[in-house]
Amino acid sequence: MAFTSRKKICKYCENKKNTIDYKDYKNLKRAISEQGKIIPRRVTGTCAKHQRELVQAIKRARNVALLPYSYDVKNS
Amino acid sequence: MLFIVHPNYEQDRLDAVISSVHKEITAKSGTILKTDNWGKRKLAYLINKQRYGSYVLLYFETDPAMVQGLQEWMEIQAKVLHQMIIRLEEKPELSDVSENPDSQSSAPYKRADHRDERNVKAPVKEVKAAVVKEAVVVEEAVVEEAVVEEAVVEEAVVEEAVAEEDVAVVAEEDVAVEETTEEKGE
Repeated sequence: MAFTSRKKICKYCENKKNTIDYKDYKNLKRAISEQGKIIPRRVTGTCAKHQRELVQAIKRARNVALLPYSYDVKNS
Repeated sequence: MLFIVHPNYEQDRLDAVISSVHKEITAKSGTILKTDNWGKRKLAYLINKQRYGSYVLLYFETDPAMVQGLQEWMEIQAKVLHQMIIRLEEKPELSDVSENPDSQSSAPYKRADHRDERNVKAPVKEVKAAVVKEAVVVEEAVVEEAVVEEAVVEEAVVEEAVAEEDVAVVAEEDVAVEETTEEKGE
């Protein structure tokens, strides 16, 4: 049985009107794991251009405490 | 620039802090484009042992050389928990609407198309279920009629009753077929 993976499409390319903004932390939350790590683009299928913007935005959001640097999975 | 003011600074004193920042920027030959007070919100992590902070978003224009001085000045301010100055590539289209992410019902990026498909499918399924119910009701009525006729005229209507039963069987088959189609649809 062959393991065919579904072709991933960058969701930011699909919706052109969506800009990646560090203030929009609710949508950025989708791009981080439950530990707070940035999910690699090999998993999400985001294109290189948008992943760069995404990483920039997440790091900015972390800086101003809109997103955490890490979630404590054990205690929460 | 986005900066976080100490949570103990409530409305009046917060305004004082904001105006002092305004003064500092204008003193450094900058012009303020927009001030957006997000109000007090929970921080994602502790800053200076504080759980909460008042967020203020400020758009301003100034000479790039002035930014470092402004940043140093902001660091010294005890009332300001944290600040971040960002250079924007393009001049933003500013409106009076607050950009507070908590008050915005921002549309999720994720797979909007697929969700739409699901919405379309759902009502179709309901219609199918309704059709099945109707078929069941019809079948029951037919069976009842057949029983009544058999009781009244036993011998003469045997053939008719058989015919009726056939209809009932057909109806049952229809129901069965529709059920299977529904299962396939799911």
